[in-house]
Amino acid sequence: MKWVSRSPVFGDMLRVRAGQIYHFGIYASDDEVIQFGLAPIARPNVPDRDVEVCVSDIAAFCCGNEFEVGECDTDAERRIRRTPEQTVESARARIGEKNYSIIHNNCEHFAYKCATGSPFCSQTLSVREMFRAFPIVDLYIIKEREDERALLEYAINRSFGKKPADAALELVDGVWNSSVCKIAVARNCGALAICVSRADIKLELDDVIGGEEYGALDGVWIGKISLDGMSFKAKIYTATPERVRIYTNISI
Amino acid sequence: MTRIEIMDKLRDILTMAMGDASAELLANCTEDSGLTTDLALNSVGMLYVVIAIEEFFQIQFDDVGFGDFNTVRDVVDYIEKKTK
Repeated sequence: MKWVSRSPVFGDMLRVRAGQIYHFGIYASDDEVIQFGLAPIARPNVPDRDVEVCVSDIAAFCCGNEFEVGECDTDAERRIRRTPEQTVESARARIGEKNYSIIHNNCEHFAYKCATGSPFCSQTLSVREMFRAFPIVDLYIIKEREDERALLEYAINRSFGKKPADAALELVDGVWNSSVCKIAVARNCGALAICVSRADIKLELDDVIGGEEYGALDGVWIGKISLDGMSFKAKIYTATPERVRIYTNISI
Repeated sequence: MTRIEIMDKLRDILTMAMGDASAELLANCTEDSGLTTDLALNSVGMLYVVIAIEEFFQIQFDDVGFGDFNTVRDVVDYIEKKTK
């Protein structure tokens, strides 16, 4: 969708800058803009449970700012765009509806649903993608033991809050897989180390040799870890080495 | 996941959401800290925090509104309930 400055016509999607976010609505006329709650800056103390699909004139919708009109930018968008009559009818049918959620059911979701039949929110999607681009990388180290599963279940629970039954943990051809995260295992120097992350990772465990550099470098994290009087060098290959966290105080 | 571990993760999330302002504001952060009063989270900051919590803890804030969370304790209570 591209957003342009022009006079709106019946059935248009509108958006207006309202503080740090955009507010969206469906235009029927200058006296009838249908939206899911007024812009947040126009309703500062209204709890989410009281926000409802409502009608305002275009001035109230805009809150003193310039609005833009949504125009389909691709053939795919044009294919799903409803007619103006369908768009406005869909919006009018929902007037009075509540169940507002800024994350899952906001004004942008509402406007896209009316205009295309499917809810969509570019604003929350971009924030979500930003956090997904920085996945955690958690490294757990204990004194070497045979049972890797116990440490894995502990790691997945601590890092992702998932119980073993929800982790779909299985060992296939010597490689651990889970529905929750990626897993890397290393044994060396009397230690068992497990690394979990939502992104791809690779783990190595070596002796400490003097004169090495430690820290988060480009695509790799190298750390010196002490455990029960022993020292190890752990190397984690990850896209986000600055996100590595170490856990040695483990009870399983 | 224990409350301490949830709080530990929440600090990470608040650090990411609050950016440069986080160090000083989070230094004295406790469960009694107000999200808007003590941590100075505005509506966009709250949006970031809630989405980050959904992504990090793999839960959904599907039965509450923003206005239901006033303190850090409110958020920790909700995460603890959802991850049990």
